[in-house]
Amino acid sequence: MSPIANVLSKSAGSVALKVTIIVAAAIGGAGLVSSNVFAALTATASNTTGGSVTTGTLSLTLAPSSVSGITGGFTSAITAMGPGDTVNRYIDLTNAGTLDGASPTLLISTVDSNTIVNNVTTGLQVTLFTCSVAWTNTGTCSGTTTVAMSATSVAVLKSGAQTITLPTVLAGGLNRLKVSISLPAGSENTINGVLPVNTVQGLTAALTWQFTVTERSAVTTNS
Amino acid sequence: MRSNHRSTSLVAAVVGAFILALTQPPASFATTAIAKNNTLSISSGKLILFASGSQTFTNTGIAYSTTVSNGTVRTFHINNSGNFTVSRFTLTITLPSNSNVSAFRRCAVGVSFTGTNNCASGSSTNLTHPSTGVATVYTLSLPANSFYSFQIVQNKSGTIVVSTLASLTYVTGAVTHS
Repeated sequence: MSPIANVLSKSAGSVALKVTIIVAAAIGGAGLVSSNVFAALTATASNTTGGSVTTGTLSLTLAPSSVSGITGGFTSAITAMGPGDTVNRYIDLTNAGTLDGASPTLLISTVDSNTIVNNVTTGLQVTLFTCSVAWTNTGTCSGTTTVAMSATSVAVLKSGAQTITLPTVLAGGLNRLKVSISLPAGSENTINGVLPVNTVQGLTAALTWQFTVTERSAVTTNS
Repeated sequence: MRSNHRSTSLVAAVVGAFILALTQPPASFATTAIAKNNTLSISSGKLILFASGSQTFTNTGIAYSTTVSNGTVRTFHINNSGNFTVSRFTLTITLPSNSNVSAFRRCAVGVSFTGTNNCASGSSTNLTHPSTGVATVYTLSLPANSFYSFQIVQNKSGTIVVSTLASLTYVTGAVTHS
């Protein structure tokens, strides 16, 4: 090898060495940096007990009155109702949950379609009363009586939920309802045993009574 | 190239919206509680009043029509096969032309005539003679599943037709607690 070639060869080796050193340094540096990240110190504070969070419940139940003689509720069928008749049924409606309710409504549904459930005027009418104490089996209230819903036809009640006014919708609250179901007096004539067209007589409807409350407004507390 | 950018943007927007939706606080929805029964069956009764020759509670659905002879007694019944007590009802009796009624009577409610002017129990009650084709109101209480037995005697031969009319107006409503 000539002197010149020898110098060039050493020079090339020097460059390769330098590159190798730089790359190694870069990798090593990166390693150091990353190891520093994983080695960051942390501090934690946590409670030991008492941090339990539970959610409330919103539950509405209905049951027939337990007063002897007026336990028919929404169970015992009403038969042969005549125009001008009123049948009173007694229901205990309770907010059995832990959350207060709001905006109580009543909706009636039925698969039957006839005059007593379709006609606003001649069909069945419903009125709701409440009593602050238990109703007697003669329909009297020795406490405070309120009208929870004025007379409303089943035709309207099945067209959409109607607002009712209950004495309480608070958690645990009990409403003692008198549900008055009336068939308005009529003037239909039966001629030679034949009932008139669109009569309210001789009809049957199976009604489902649905009471609903919504949750009271959400609240933000600081405690 | 531009198409690729559009597709990329679209995917990014969808993914972004999805992530945004997931990370949003729950929307305000009202919790409701419902209480309802199975079904309450309600049925209305019927007012069914009709005339017949023999006593029956099978509704004929037509006026009672039969032959009559001069001086011969004819017995018919007014039957209540419905669910309501009526406090009055109307009879329209059509007689042969120029007929004159010589007797019109009834037995007590639920009692039939067993012969001319002879009730199965008790005595008959004479009634105002009907005018042919004129609706006449009889203020008689007739409970459900009961009847009145009538007898009429007139002086022509032909056909007698007895029509009935009962109105819910005279059915008294009741208030019950159950």
